[in-house]
Amino acid sequence: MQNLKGKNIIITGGGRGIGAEASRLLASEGANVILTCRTKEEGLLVEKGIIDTGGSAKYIYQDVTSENDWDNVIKSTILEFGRVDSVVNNAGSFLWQSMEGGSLKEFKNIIDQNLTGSFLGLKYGTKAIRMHGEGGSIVMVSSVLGKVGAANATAFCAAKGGVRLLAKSGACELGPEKIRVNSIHPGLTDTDISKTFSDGVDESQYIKSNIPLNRKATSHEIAKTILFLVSDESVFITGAELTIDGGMSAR
Amino acid sequence: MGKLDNKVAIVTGATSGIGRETAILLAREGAAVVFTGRNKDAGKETGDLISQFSPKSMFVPHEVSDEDNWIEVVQKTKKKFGPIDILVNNAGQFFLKPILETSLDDFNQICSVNIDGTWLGMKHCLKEMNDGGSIVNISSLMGQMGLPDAAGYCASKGAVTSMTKAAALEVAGRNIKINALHPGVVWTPMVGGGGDGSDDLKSFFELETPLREVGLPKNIADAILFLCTTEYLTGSDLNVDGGRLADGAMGSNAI
Repeated sequence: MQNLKGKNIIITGGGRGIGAEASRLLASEGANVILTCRTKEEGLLVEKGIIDTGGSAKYIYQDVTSENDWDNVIKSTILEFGRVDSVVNNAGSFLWQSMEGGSLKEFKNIIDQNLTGSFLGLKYGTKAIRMHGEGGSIVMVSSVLGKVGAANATAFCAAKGGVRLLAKSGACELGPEKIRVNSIHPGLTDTDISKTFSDGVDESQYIKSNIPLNRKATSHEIAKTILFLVSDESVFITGAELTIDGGMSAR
Repeated sequence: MGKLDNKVAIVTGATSGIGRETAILLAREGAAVVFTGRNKDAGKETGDLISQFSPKSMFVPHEVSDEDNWIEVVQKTKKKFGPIDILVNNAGQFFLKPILETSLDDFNQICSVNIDGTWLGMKHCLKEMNDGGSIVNISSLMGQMGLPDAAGYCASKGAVTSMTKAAALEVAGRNIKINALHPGVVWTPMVGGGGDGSDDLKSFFELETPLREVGLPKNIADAILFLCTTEYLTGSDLNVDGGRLADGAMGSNAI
């Protein structure tokens, strides 16, 4: 299947977890994948893996909170591939901190990594997609904790809740130009971020009492949702939120 | 190789619009498809379209609010193709009428098709469904927000939205996924498409939608296929509405 043949797709946080898996899946569908992250070795490894299996990928260093880095990612992509069709704003980080014990500095850092980074991705992605005027798809990787609250996760919930409405506002503003913006809300997934999450809880007990499907998601399952949203199978979907949480937030 | 090879699917309301498009797409992806509806002639047309490329389909005349009729659909499906993997509860009814002009009979009628029909479909198919199966309930954008003169429709679709989540929790242990899909304005016979609707009405809906277009049955069918093939999504909502729900507060023309 080569549903994404010729599409140029930027994926942030592409060095590991959902971002790495999405990079591999989208490349296997024919996309030119531009994957970014701060950990160069990991990014290069994903790039190599894709190229070795016949796909097209390019790693670019990026701190998603830096406007200069966004400018560079967009310019490099256009220079090498000609245009931008989609941006997957996947980079993010998680932190447990109690309201009273947490520092403002850490709170702001979580907002920057998850929300401000996504805003810049929306802004620079839109600029780039507008250059060809044929529309495109922007995917925001929020979290189930962008829809429901969790004790000791105020910063993450605030940031991911912000991402959810950032996507909807973007969808309203950019719809007439056929630039679609959607958010996805993964539950507990088999990734490093969820390891951080699980540091604070008894994981098997947590899964048993909170996840109706009684298991974590795989990164591949989340990547398939991203694939759907950047493909032409979702051309009438914008401003939507896809919750992939094994039924966690249905109750 | 299709995405649904060896799967058995039931699609209700498949004599036109979204249901017909879905029955065709699921069959194209390799599923054996039982498609149902009230209009036998239109059912035959859907069947003709499918039989051009797949021998594995069957039409069963169906009034979804009738329990005995549901039992018949399920038994015929089981007998011909085996246990069920996919149910698409698509059949639905729509009317616009102010509350003061709506009779209790009108209200009960729309609820019996949209709510009872969906509930009966889940009840009788779940008995004969393979573990790991998938149910997609077609709710509506109007199952999430209000519309003047549509209290009956909104009430019935709101019920579909909620019972989808309850049912999903109930059968998660069997790894059966149940999700609600919320179409926005899709240009089908139910809302005035298919030759009956005026261009003015279509333009009105287009301007009200952030993407500045109305949906096509294919857009919804593609999303149904996605929900049928996803493994970790359950008790969830998928809007296929061109951005209408996201734009609820302001209206897309607001600055």
